[in-house]
Amino acid sequence: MKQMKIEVGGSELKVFAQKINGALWVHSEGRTLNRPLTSGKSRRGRGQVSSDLPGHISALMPGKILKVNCSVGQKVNSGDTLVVMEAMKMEYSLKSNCDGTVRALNVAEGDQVTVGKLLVEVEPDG
Amino acid sequence: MDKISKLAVANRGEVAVRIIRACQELGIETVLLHSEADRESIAFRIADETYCIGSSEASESYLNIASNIQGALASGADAIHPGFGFLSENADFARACEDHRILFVGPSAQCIELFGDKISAKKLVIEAGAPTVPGYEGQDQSMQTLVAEVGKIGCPVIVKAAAGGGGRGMRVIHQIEDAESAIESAKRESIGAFGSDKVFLEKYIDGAKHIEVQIFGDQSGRVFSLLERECSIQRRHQKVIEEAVCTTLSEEQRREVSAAAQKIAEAADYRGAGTVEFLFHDGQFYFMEVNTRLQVEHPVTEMVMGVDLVKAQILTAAGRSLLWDSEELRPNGHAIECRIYVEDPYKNGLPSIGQLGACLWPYGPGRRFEIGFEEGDEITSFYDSMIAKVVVWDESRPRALIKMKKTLEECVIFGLQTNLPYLLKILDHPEFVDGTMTTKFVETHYPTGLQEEPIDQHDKELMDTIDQMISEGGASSMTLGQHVSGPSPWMAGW
Repeated sequence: MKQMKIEVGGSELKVFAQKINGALWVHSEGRTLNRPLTSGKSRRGRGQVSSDLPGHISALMPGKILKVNCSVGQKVNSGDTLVVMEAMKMEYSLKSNCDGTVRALNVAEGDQVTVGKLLVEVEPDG
Repeated sequence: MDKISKLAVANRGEVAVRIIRACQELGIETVLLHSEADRESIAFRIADETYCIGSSEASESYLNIASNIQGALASGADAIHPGFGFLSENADFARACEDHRILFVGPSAQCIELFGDKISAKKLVIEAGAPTVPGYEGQDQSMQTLVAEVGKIGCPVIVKAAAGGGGRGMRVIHQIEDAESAIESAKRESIGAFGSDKVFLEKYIDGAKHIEVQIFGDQSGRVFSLLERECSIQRRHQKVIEEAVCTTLSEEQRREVSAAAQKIAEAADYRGAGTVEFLFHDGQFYFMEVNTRLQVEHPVTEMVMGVDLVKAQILTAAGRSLLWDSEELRPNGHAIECRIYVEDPYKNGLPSIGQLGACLWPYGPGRRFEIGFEEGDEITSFYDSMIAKVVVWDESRPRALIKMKKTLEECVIFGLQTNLPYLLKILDHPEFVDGTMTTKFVETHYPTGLQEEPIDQHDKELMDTIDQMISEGGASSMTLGQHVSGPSPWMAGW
């Protein structure tokens, strides 16, 4: 981790920074920012460090599929909820990370899944 | 120490560190009973000895009675501290320790069993004269009787598993027509989760404060009340922020709930640390349950009452008396605890797993950190995602609130998402600031966590500038925005 000083409009910001888990992490002015190293897009709070390929929606932890919200051939938009799963007593909505068409659906309601299992494949548009 | 020269820690994370440090200060050797995954943890590194009790799955390790006993015996431990969760409230485990002449740091197996059965617990409480929720706890479990009782109590009614806890095996009945299906559903979940379909009914109290009292029975059987904690900030029955004391209670209410908790503990001849939970609604307290273990949030009580609960537990298990004086046990100031979870608050708390990056904890007066992991440790999905607790103390609640916000803002945790932004939002919410929050706070105000905010130009430039500085290697100071556009080579191996 590095400690740095950034001059902004005459005053000095003390910042901490580190590259780890495929992202640049920065702490400044009381909050933490991060962005993936390969992409130029910066988003506060979001840093999908286990980066999913566009169109690949995988289980980030072991759990159970509660609801499947899509079907093969369906057109979906980035942000649409495709699958709802339960892990550690909590429900997670797994959303599409691109606009496209559902190419494959590898799970059904009630299935138990392991970490990394590819749940839905979306063929990105364009 | 006489009876205990070596103690086995049957737990993990920050509480394992807490117990090990207490032992170090008491001159007791420690052995950590850990799973494979937890080789990467602070507790593993500071324990005198370590013993692997099984694979990372909790059922194979931390929930495996035989493995824990074997580990304690193999390492020659005189005592086991079960921490919280896992086997800490498992009467069979307490008994197994007894059978093998290992001191169990906690109450007796009987006490654990008594309070583990929610029906027998309620019976004891009613006999002790403490306030309970009107309900039905009869042996007659026929659907006919149960539905009739729902009618008598008057909706809304909650049906709960007698062998249950932690929010499972519960259903709320809003209309009498739904009673039968709700009861069936609760029984199904209960038998699956706890092996018994025995249920009881209670009037459902919506929108109450969760107020719990820390009690402690010393080796002579004397029960101390160490006053209350406010724990209404919960997400799906998992606490997030806790405080000592509850500043919306009057002195009289404080005395009332404290006395009730003490009576309950005395009636059970309780030894060691325990917590009596109540709901507080419309000026009334209603008994919920007794937790026969040390709780995660014990530090807030320690800071306000000036005690060390973990050492007290160990001393009590060893048959030693405490230095406490009831007359002198008076609250001073205010303490707040925030649990740090590695999860994404913008994705409804989705756990973040992987290698923990650099961490900077901003130490200072009245700031306490209970940390389980450090940079380089692999955080897995096998256990809950709490990696640390931040606790602050100050002379009043408003001051403690400011101190907590400053402290959290200064915390640096890289590599994994954390709930720091979520905690800061809650601490700023008018209902929290007022202290009027109930257990409905999270579901009302943050039902899906936080909404992501768009990145602003300033932050984008900040990230670009830092990117540039790192690439160039030399600079440790630069002006914002003063970066060269165009390809910048990454410094390999930085």
